[in-house]
Amino acid sequence: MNLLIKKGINNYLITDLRTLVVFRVCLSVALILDLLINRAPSMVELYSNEGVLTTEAVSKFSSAHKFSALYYIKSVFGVKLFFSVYFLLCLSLLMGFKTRFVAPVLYVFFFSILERVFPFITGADTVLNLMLFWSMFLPLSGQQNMGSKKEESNYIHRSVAVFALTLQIALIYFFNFLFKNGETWSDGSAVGYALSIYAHQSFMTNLLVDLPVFWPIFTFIVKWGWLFVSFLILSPVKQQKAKFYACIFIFIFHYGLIPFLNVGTFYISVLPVLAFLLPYKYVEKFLKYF
Amino acid sequence: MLKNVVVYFFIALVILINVSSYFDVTQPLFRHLSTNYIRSFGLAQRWNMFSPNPTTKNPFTLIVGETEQGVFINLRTKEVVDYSKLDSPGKIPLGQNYLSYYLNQMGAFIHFEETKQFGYAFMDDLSNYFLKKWYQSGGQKIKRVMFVQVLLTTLEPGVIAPPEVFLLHDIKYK
Repeated sequence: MNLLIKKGINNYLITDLRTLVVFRVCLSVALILDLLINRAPSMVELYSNEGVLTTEAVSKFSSAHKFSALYYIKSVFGVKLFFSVYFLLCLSLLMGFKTRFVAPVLYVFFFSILERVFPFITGADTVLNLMLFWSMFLPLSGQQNMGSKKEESNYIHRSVAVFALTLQIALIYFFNFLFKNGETWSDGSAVGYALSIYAHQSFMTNLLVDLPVFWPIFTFIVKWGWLFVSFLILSPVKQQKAKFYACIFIFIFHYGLIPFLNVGTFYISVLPVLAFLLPYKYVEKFLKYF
Repeated sequence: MLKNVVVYFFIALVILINVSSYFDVTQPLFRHLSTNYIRSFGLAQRWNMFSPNPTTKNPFTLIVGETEQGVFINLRTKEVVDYSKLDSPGKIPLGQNYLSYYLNQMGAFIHFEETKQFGYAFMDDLSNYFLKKWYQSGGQKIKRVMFVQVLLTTLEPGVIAPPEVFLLHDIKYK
């Protein structure tokens, strides 16, 4: 019994080094996509003092801080240079170059970008920021001090940071479930109300608006699905399989939602989440197709 | 060893942040810690999308310029404002979508005392920016810029009430 408990706890602390490499690649890709889609088109307008939000205006926010490097870089040239360096850092992380150094520096850069426009940080931004934060404590290069990698056991990485990131992801979904405690989530109308929000409408929203019979089903799936996912992520038994099923649910939910509900760029932020959760044996199976 | 201690500390912090956000802990000490330290680590988080219920109040903000001839122009789309058709913010030029999200929250900013100053300063910046763009494109002289909030209220799923219009800010130019 004791051995089983010990093994169960140990499983929370271990991951495959190759999983961490896939995680690193997906995290860098997500950061680059975020840069290209969210930041670059409005770089001058949002992050320089020639745009719509000057540093003077942000500093009037009651809880404004000066932690962002972009509070001090105000010119258009400075902002462009800052984002160019940031892009190079993302590429370095993607290539696995000096990850121990690059990850913390990249975190400071990304944090600065978010802090510059902090009254408008979205949930998708927060997810990406947290992935980057916890990645600083992981061997993202996929290497650790050991002998030959020929044996499968040599790919095992054991650290409390693995548990921290797993717990962080589980908490995201668990609290998503907990917060959904209003009456529309109980009577099954929540999805109907969400679809009616102008800012969240997508190109196929009307299709679902016209099918109210599905609203209670989707409301139930969304609310209880997140609880189910958080339990799967922290499952004490059959952990690999449980995480695999959690990944399938997260993938279907986030990407299946795109035609019906616009919830920002969660489809980008969830990439590293999936990469970290997905056990390497499934990645290997997937890669065989290519 | 030290790395593990640091990680344990942050795990505890993340659990604390999530629990306190759920129970809406507003004690001054926690607010102080939250404002000054937790956000400094970049660990602030609150997973309350569409919670406790999806909102029924869906605002968007128009930046309207009045020319000396008394014509009202939507400074983002550069089209004449038709106040009888305010069921959407109009066709927003590509690359300005980010602003829609920002502008949707404008009403909330000026509603609360602690963010009011920021809200007005932000609207001044927006006004200056869009006026500059307007004049660069050869637009007529603008004597007044108004921030008009249009509120669409969901009566029941799929049923939206007629738009209500509020004036958030009115800036006059000489």
